[in-house]
Amino acid sequence: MSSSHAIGHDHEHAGGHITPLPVYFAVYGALLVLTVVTVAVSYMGLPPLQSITVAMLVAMVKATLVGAWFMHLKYDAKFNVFTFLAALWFMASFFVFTFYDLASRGMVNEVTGQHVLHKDMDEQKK
Amino acid sequence: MSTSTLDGVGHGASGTNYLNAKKGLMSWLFTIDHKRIGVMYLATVLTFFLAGGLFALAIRTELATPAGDIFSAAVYNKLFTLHGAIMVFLVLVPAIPATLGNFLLPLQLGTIDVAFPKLNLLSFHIYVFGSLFLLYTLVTGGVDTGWTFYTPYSSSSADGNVVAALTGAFILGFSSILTGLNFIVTVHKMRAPGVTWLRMPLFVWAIYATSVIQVLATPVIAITLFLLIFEKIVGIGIFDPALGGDPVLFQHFFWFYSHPVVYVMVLPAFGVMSETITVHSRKHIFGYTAIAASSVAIAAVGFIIWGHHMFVSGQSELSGTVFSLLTFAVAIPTAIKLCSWIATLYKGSIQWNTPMLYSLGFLWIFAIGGLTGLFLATLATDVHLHDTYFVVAHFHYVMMGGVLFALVAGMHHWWPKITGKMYNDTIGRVTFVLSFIGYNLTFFPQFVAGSQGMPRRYHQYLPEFEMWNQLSTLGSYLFGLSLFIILGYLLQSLFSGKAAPRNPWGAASLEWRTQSPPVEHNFEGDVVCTYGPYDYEAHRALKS
Amino acid sequence: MSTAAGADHGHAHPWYQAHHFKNMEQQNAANKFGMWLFLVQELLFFAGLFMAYASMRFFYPGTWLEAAEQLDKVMGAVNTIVLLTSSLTMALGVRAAQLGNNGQVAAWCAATLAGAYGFLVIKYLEYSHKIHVGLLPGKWFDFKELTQTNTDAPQLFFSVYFMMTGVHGLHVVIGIGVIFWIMLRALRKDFSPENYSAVENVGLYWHLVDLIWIFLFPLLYLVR
Ligand SMILES: [Cu+2]
Repeated sequence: MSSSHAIGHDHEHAGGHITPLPVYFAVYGALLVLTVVTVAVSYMGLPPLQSITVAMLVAMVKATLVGAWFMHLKYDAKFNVFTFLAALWFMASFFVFTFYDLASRGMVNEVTGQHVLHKDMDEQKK
Repeated sequence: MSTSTLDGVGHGASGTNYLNAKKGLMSWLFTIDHKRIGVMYLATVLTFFLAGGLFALAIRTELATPAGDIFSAAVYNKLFTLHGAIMVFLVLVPAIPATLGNFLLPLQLGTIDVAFPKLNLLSFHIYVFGSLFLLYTLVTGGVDTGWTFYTPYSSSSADGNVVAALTGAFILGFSSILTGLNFIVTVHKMRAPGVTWLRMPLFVWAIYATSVIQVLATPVIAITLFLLIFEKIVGIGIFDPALGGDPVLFQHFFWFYSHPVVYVMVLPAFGVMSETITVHSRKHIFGYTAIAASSVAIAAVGFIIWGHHMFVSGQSELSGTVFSLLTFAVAIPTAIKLCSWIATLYKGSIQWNTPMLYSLGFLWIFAIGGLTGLFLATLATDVHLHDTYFVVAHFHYVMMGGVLFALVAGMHHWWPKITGKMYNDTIGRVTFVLSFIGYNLTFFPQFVAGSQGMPRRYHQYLPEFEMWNQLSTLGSYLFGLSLFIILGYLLQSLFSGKAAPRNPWGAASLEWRTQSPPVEHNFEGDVVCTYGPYDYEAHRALKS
Repeated sequence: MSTAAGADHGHAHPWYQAHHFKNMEQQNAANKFGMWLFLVQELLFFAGLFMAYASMRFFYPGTWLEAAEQLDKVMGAVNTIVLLTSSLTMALGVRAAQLGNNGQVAAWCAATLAGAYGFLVIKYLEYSHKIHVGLLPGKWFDFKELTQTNTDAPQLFFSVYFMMTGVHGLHVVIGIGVIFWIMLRALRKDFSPENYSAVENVGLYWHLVDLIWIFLFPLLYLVR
């Protein structure tokens, strides 16, 4: 097998891939525009669900821009990209399963689904 | 000091090796040699194991009689908390990866060191620094939350120095993360020419899967403990129902780490088995790829089954069902491993020496631990068994028995390589019998008492459980005694043991190609790997 | 195969190559992969905070809408722009290091440091205002306007706010330390097209700090 080493797969010469300056400035410009967009949307008075959906979509686009160009993932060894995505996958599993519990607590038995606030308990005692 | 006698005389004739290459305490404490760091971890882990073990014996002594006569309930609570916290955070997590893993990983990959030697030393120092916080907790009144630190008890009314214990566990986490990070990069980038992915020893695969869990899961416990520290000091309320938070959320946070961490403990133990069983039965491992892949599968699936700890904690019934189902799924890759080891033994020429006996002991103990896990994974039976001694017995069989028998097997297997000395195998075999009986006598009766309803974490119990508890206490003394005997004859071998040859077991993996103990930079010359780690035919052909 | 792997190396390495690596290519790839794994653990560390946010918001949706009004959107937006700008200057610093221009590396690091300090100053102004009016985490919460309305647990929003921005701020402070270190090394002319992975890794870290903020800003400030 020739893959005795994982090195040498990146096709990197000394200095790595040099991104042209205009690309950096274009990405920066896009990030600024998206910041303005997301702030502007927050003033539109959308219902909370729509509002957070838009805000998160914009944030994801911004994150992709930062990841792909500022962090060089676009030109990087593919395994580094995989590593990053794997982290997101495991984060997602943490969110999804925990959230599934929170959201399904009242589905079978209403009593177990009640989130009792301490101040309500105090009021009940009175 | 110890030139090879069996496998050809090596270049260590000058007598230099990693143990005597440099002298003085500082040459140890600030070494960046992975072998010395591994040895330091081993000494430290065993010291903490002694401390945790003494707590265990104190607990068993209290439970010898139904009345709570030796320790008050409050003291007993602190005893089992400190026993659990020390054993989990200071002993079991680093037990194999940081000790044998550190020593063996570069050797088995045929390289000089791990990818980041200084980071490796830093991990060790962070580990010692974190352990100081737990020791500080110990001398300033202990802590009585249980090692799980459940809220709201831990955040509001717990007795003792909870913040110090949390800080210690928080710091220890970073030691674990950095070790895992280092090992992953080492496996990817440091392999010698010819060591392809499928020519890596299975111990390396196991350590690799372990490291993935360490890097992915440990940060979550770090932020959990961080939030809990602030819960305790500032009262942020996220986990505290008095301030509107959700204590069950804490359990999600906690078990997202603390279930996978069971695999941080036990995957390396699997890795040791995959080495000892094939070497000491002189037979190529059965199902190499399946074992390697099942390590990775266990690591991946192990992340989405944590809710089985929360079946009766107020988690929703639906997510309990999902977690129950997923928990059964993790039995599949585990069973693949067990079956592969047994198939390896089949028609092998089994050497009945100490490492092999402990490996067989592991198979027995882990099979019991794993199968009783299925009872607990079943939603309905768990309602009955939750928080009884059945659970205590189950996780001791898996975590403590599994890890310890594998660690002892591994220590006997690699002792000649680490120290350059042979131990007395006859005493080893006799001690195995004692420890195996002692171990099972300690924990098997707890299954019975637990299934009859004896709850855990009380210093007294109903008289009807007395017989089971007395058997268990007797067993724990036998087991403790056997561990001291092991320590005794291993230490004695350092002074009067025969010099170990380069390759006493006729193994084919790379670490046996260097002298025992290895030279400072591991190998005398270049390493080029031309055959797999279990290819005994190719190995013999090369020698002749 | 040809070079000695033992204790004594037969041939000379550049000073920046550690002896256990065979060549700079291997060392650079290992360094960068190690950094990515470190970023992975950073992400999972922050995952806990995001989960705390999500669950508390799920329990108290109304509170979240009301309490978030107390944050200053303008200051948040300005800080976002400051941090994005510092991310750009850091990226340009890495580019200068790739080209082996140590003077420019130092200059871009200085610009990034200015951004980092600017971020912290604005954060300080926000914090001191919150602390002044009693918008504090958990049991310290003492802000009459919100406790008197029908909001359930406004203190939890500020617990989450202070924990998230606090941990993020701590990362900014650590970032200042490592960027400063890189700046000093650049002034010492340490870096070259073959040896710049320290700059690159600090850059990756700084971009991650930016990446986290990109999500914190809308989640905390732009709820409505
Ligand atoms: Cu579990």
